[in-house]
Amino acid sequence: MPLAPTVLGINLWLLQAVVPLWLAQGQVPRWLLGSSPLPCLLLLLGMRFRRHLWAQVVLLVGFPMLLTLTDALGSLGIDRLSPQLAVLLKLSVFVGYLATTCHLLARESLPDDPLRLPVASWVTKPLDAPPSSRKLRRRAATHAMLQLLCVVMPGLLFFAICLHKPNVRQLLRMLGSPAKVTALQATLLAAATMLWASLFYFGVMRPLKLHIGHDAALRGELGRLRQASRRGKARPQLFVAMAVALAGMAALLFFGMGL
Amino acid sequence: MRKLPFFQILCALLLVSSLVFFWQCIGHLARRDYVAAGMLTVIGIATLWVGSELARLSLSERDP
Repeated sequence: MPLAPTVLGINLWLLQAVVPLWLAQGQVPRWLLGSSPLPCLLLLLGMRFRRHLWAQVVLLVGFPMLLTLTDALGSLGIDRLSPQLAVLLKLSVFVGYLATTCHLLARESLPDDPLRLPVASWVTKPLDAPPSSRKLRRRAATHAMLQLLCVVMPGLLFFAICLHKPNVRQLLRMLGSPAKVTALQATLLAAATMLWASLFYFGVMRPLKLHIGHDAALRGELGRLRQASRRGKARPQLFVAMAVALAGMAALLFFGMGL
Repeated sequence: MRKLPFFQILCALLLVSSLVFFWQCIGHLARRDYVAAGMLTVIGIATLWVGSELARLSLSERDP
């Protein structure tokens, strides 16, 4: 018999039925005293046959409802039998009982339920995945290379700044003391990290992200440019360029630097 | 009678003439005359620009 739900159920029965009846001795009818072991018996019965549906209903519905029999009949009517702390205690024990019982029933379900088979007995077969397309393979290879780059480049910078002996010796020769070398190495590392992160974001990740999003802004700009180029009207740039070319040639002639 | 492609001829002439300007610019650079080389570069770029604009206009006239 499972320990936690049984103990909590018995505790709940003691708190809800036995203790109030015992405190109100002499003021309750005999039949109520006689029926007090009934919830406990029901609990034990439900626990014993918990694999059956009726027993689960008894555990989750019948037992708690039967426990309220004492209060429901209103036969006690003494406030001191149910102080606030006791109500809180009863409530917490009741929640604990429901949680542990539900957990127990969910764990041990019917034996012929195929979903409740142990994981070790499952037979798994891999599905035949369709061959990935060339584009997808290329994209996966690009992502793998980017991941590799993310590891290799910072590692290389770290090695060059902090671990490469000739570099460290050169820094020591330039600065004189190891403390200054350490400070410079920290500064260089911070600068290299910032530079690398900025370059990686603006040079690699941002274009890649825009490409995966089908370059909406670029396509819009291209559409606008196409519309502008279809207009059979001279743009101001033409006149500006003509003026610049003519002025340049005039200046060349004027200053005697002719062709 | 077939129409002569004036725009196309003009823009081809402009593009070729811009190359002449650049060629002259190299000659001035070789003589260390940097001011003239700079002015010729500007003129070459402006001529190239005019040629490209005319090419665009000729294309838009051909395919309205």
